[in-house]
Amino acid sequence: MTTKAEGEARKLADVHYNIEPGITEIYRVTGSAQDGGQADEPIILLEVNENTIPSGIMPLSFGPSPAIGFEHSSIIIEVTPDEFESIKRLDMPLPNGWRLGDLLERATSVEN
Amino acid sequence: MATPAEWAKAFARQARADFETWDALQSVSVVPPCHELLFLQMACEKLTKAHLFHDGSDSPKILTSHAHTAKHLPTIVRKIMTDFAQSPKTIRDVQRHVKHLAQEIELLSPSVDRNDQRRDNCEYPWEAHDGSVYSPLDWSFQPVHLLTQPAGRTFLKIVRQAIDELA
Repeated sequence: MTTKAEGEARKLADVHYNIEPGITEIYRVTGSAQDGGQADEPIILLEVNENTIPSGIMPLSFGPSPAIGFEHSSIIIEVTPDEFESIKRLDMPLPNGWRLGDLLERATSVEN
Repeated sequence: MATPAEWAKAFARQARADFETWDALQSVSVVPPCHELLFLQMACEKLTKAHLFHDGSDSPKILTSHAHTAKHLPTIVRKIMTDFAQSPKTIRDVQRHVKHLAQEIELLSPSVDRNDQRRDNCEYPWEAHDGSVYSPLDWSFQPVHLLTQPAGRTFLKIVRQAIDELA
């Protein structure tokens, strides 16, 4: 993932942590193409949300939003804590050869 | 084979037609609320499916299930509100309402009954647990009331915006 994409992933995670109180953890998801750092690859985030309902892995796609600084498209995978445990055990594998990446920790300061 | 982008656009165009039909029916007094809501439910379902078609891998599951709205529509609304640089507090306030609304809209589909606890739907008569038969024509659907609240109107604007972005 490019540095710019990393920055956007961090910013996106901060926004989502701040808006959605049920989110406990957000992870980056990486794929084979992302390993090469291609600039047009989407940012993929896996969000563990204790307020969501289980439905398996259903990635939601969104286009870029350059007006607010998001030049990459994004893909959001929202799962319950139990589903996340299944993903970590590989009982519920991520599609398309994707792999669980780094945890994007919740920032300490919160914008209101 | 069709690309994910082609599927997404097709779903979004159909969602727009459903939404515009719902909108047009608002001014037709002889149309009962259950018929109006049918089009809103279909618009929301197709908008959600348009966002799920990022690849073709889960096409059968996406196509056949009606139970995507409650989970995914709030995420779509969150994205649109973020794009419009709404404050986190505003988004949180609207999101609380949107989650409730999305759950109720999903339940309008006859194939979604939350483990037989919610048989009410906007298409077919159903038998309640006390043996009474109800028609959608006589039922008071929660979305009718939720949509008239300020956050409900915001929800409708955002759904329209989300559809237009993809259609």
